[in-house]
Amino acid sequence: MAHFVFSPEWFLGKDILVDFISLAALSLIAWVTFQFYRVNHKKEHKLMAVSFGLLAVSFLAKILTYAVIYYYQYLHLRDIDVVATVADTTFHGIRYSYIFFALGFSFFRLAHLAGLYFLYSVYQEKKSLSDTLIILFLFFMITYFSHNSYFAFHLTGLVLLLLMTWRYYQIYLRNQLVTTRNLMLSFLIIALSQAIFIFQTNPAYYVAAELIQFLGYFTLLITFFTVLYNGKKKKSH
Amino acid sequence: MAKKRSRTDIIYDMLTAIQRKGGYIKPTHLMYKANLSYKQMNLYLDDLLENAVVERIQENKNDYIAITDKGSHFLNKIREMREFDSAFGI
Repeated sequence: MAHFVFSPEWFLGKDILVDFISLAALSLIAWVTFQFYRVNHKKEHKLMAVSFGLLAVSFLAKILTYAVIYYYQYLHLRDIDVVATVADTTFHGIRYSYIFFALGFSFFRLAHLAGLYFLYSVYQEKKSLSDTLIILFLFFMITYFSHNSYFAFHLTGLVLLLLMTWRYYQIYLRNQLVTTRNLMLSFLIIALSQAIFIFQTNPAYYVAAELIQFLGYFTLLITFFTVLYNGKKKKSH
Repeated sequence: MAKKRSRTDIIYDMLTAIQRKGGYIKPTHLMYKANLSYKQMNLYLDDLLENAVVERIQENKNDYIAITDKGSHFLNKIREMREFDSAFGI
């Protein structure tokens, strides 16, 4: 059987659930940030809404791709293999599955890197359109080459996340807020998951990376709720 | 030098001033509490009245500006936003 994913069989489907929770967290943050943008039309809020939105869309693409692949590869085609009557069907099934996987996963990677980059660029000097296009072109190339060298994607994600962590550390030094510290921590955890994903050919690492990534996004969600709660609690400045 | 207040900051200061006074305030007090000129205050007030964020009420023949439920909700949203901006450093 063609092997598209690194998940051990016992974890199949569970990783989708883990990603779904990350998707829910990111969608909520994107939605609330968009509401902020509607109130004050601040470009940082718009960029954050776009960033978290892209990250959410990337997870949605990953979930849909995995769900379809798992169904066909591990449930539908397994039955055909057992019956072993139409070998041709299996061949075509695998070929179409591969095309679907390649497209779905490319979209996931591209949207994910773009989301992380836009989040990082919130804190950067205003860039020209050509600069942004060059970066997006490079992400496109990374996505393309990640088909054969999957770690290129995770390595790029790791670098962007470490830069974000460093940025939040600098902000924390200035404002000494617990929420900023937790924000930094959540990005550090997500960065750690990307580092472990680099070794995902070992199924145990894949499971560990998925769970750590979930922990990172969950911490981000809790921090986000804390920020909103603190805002409501404050009656005056 | 102090940073120039944004439109949202000014609305936040106005609504906070009203809420601190128990939900309604005299227009002149609002002007002082929110650090606005008469012209500026009327400009913002017209906008807030139009959007039903505040309303004019009369008590003992005096004019007051009162915050509405929509205004309280809006003020909460601005507070969340300011907290978000502080935490995310933007």
